[in-house]
Amino acid sequence: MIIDGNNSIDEMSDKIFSEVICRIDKLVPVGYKAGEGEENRNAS
Amino acid sequence: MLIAFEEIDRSGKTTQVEFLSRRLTEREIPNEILREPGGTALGEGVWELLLHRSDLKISPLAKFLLFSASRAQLVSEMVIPLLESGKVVILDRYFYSSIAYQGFRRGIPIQHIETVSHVATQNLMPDVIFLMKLDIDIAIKRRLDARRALIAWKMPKSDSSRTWSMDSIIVRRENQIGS
Repeated sequence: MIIDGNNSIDEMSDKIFSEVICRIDKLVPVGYKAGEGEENRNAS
Repeated sequence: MLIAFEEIDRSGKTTQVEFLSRRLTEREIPNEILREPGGTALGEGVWELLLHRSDLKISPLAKFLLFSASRAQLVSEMVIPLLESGKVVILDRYFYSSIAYQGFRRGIPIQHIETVSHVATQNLMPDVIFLMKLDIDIAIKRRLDARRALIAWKMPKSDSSRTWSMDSIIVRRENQIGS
């Protein structure tokens, strides 16, 4: 992802942080297999 | 999760690396910042060699391989164990810097750099790369500002005439670039 360094420090930080949080939220726990549902998620 | 930051100089990469780490910590997300080159005893040794052994003639290829050796050690000794422990790893530079500096700037074929880098990093690719871009004029101005601050800091307080002289040289340079 390209970050425009001409923006303010806070603007850049917000963009970076929101992107990272978004990607962390999409990560599935290790061992989780698609189709095994929420039970597996909750158990991990 | 592996995050890499790359930049041209003075675009604020290191500041953003630290901001991100702090904000993740505030959310109780464990994380670790690692910086290239360095981050391990071997890496620090390589960096010392490159910085302080000006008596050594080091070819661009040799320099790239030294960086790659440092990177290989960083990945195996630090990055992989941290990722396996569940931490978010934030890399302040990764092998993309070699593509820029030793590839585009020093003429080593990009394909060679990518091949060696993939071996050195065990094909460990970042989940996200943040490329900090900055207008070149602003980058130069920030570099000059930083140098001026360093000169002023180093100069004895009583030596105001020399401070003024150095300052005027830098201001003139700034004017040349239209800032």
